[in-house]
Amino acid sequence: MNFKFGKKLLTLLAVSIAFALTGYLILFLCLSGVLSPVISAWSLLRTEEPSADTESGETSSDYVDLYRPSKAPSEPSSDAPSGDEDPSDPGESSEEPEDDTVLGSEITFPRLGNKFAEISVDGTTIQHVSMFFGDGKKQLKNGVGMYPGSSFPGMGSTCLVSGHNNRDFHALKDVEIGTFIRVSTSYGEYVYRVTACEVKQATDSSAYDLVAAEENIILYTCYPFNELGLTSKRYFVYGEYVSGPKIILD
Amino acid sequence: MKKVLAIVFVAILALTCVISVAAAGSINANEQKVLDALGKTAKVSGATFKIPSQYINQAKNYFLTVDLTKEEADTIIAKINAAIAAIEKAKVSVSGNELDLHDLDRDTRATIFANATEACEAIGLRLVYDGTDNAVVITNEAGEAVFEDEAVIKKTGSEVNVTVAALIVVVLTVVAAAGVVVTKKAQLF
Repeated sequence: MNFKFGKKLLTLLAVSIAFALTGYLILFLCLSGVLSPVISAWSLLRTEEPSADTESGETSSDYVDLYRPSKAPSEPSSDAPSGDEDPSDPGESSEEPEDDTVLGSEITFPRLGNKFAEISVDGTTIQHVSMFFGDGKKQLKNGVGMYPGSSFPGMGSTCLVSGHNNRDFHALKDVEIGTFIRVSTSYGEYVYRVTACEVKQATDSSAYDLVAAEENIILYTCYPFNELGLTSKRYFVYGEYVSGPKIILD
Repeated sequence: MKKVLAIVFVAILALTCVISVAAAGSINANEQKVLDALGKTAKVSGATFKIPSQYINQAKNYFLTVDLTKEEADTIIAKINAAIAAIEKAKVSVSGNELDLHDLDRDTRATIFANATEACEAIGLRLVYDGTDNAVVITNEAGEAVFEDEAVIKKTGSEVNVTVAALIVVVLTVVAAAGVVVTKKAQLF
């Protein structure tokens, strides 16, 4: 009986697997274009922490890169604390303060799709992530994107930045109030202090103010962070201006 | 109304693309006049409408990469004023404070689109209006987008294709279950 039962069980499994494989083969032939997303879904399911290294994984070089560090890449120093140091001090130099303005005529502003900055968030794996002007699919595939209807860092209003929750902005879940957000552009280094982290509906227009009178930054991504498929909520991280040259449009 | 003004704005913006692309990095007086004009309001049936701030910001960010001449700015402002006048004369029934393109009469819509399309073609740009998504995109000769009318807050979760993949997995599971049923009916056990 046991042998007979086992034989039937194996037959059952074999038929089920055969049906599944046959079905997949048919679907593959008909929908081969979705094979890549299937692989992406598998990697999404088995990976808890996506790589924050933008030099690994799938990236595209099909974009104009306007970013040039305005100074040497920031290294942990005695007067430039990282997330482990005094959170109330973003790292002001003890020497004379740097010029806090920059002329707009000296800046090459980006067009849609151009990389123009890199963004880092202290205490997280978000380090030197490529930041693009525009937040379309292509830009978010290669990094994070600034909404083109918002303002550039230094323009004195809101800079709205988005990124995928299974990629660069997955680590937004680790951001704490008081953490520093650093945006490095070709025309200056900007520092913002996180003041709030909130979950809101994507359709909630009160989540942002694109005509704010003060310089600020908003980072957001889909929420929950491990949700598959489309979600109606977003995780917003709000940052107030701390330092960086103000752009003068001459 | 938002979409209508956006389309008009798009056509007007297209006129600016003939300008030399020497990086401006500033908002000159001509461009500021255009921005001020874009901030005007239109009154229709007692309601007040204005171009959303994100569109004006896009215009401002675009002006940072080009230079408008006085003549070009005057032309653009004239187009803006004409658009506002046409909309205010349109036969519409307003509910709330927002007016969609489809709320306008057919002739007005046709006029707006014709002007917008011709303005883009004259400078080598292509204006595409997707009626399904109710969105406008302008591309240059290289196919690069110079203006996009999309939602402020994007979808930043797993891409839609991954959802399709998940659905495929569900389908395959159903197929496997069907195999079980067939097996049972075939009295294999």
